[in-house]
Amino acid sequence: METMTKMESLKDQQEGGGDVSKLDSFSPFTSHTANLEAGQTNFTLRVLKMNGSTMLFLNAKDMEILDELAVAMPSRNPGQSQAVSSTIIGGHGQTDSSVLAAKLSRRYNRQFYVSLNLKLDRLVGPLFEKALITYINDHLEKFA
Amino acid sequence: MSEESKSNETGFDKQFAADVNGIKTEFVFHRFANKWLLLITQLGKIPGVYRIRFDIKINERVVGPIDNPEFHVSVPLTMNCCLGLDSDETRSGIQFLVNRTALNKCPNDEFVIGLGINQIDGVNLRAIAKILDEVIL
Repeated sequence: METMTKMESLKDQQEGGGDVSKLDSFSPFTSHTANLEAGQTNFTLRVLKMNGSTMLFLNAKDMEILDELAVAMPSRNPGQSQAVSSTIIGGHGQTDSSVLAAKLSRRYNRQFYVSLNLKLDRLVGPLFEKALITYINDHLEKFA
Repeated sequence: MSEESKSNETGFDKQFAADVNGIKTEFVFHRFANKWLLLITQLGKIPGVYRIRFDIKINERVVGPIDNPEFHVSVPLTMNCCLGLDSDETRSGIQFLVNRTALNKCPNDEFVIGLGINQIDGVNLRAIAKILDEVIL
């Protein structure tokens, strides 16, 4: 309550809230969704392209949940090809989402947020990754 | 092996940019089966991610949020900052939005929010709450 009162007292002090012209220079977010097939598995891909980063949500076609979220970004050290990744929501340490985010980040040299909510085994996993990479390469302007 | 069967230009339930007191603000909202996702940012990217849990389930609430200066009742929440700078201002901003909008009608036990506002104050939060109620929720 006290914080909110303080915030409301700032009402009169507000003068536009920052450098508007700089903010307007940001590209607008774009998003799309696609249904992909990997072997017998159908999955739904939701993509949010932001400024300098991309967010992916991967779910089974019939049930979309948000259990995991991970982020990865390319290393600033040119000599180090490994991307840095971290799990934000769900799981501990290395998760399927963080592994995929690191792979995408390294491949496309861009920050990726990934929410991978699929049960993948050794057979379907490679098919899924190939389907995803093929789709991204075919629609690169929507991702990076 | 890989086949694209369908592609739509809107990837989420709602995704748009709106003017909030002269500042372009991006909104993304989607209802996943187990939680809602809400991103609000004026920074062109996600500044931080909070996981919000309702301490009392929606069907067990005796008293909802009451917006009254004397008898104010907030929605009890547990907030976990999962990414980015954790600040009291952001937490109070999230609490404000939950109290003032239909976010408190979320049927799930939790939702995920990314809030990146240049200046968290009553003017901006009220403008955002209005957009949430009128356009998104």
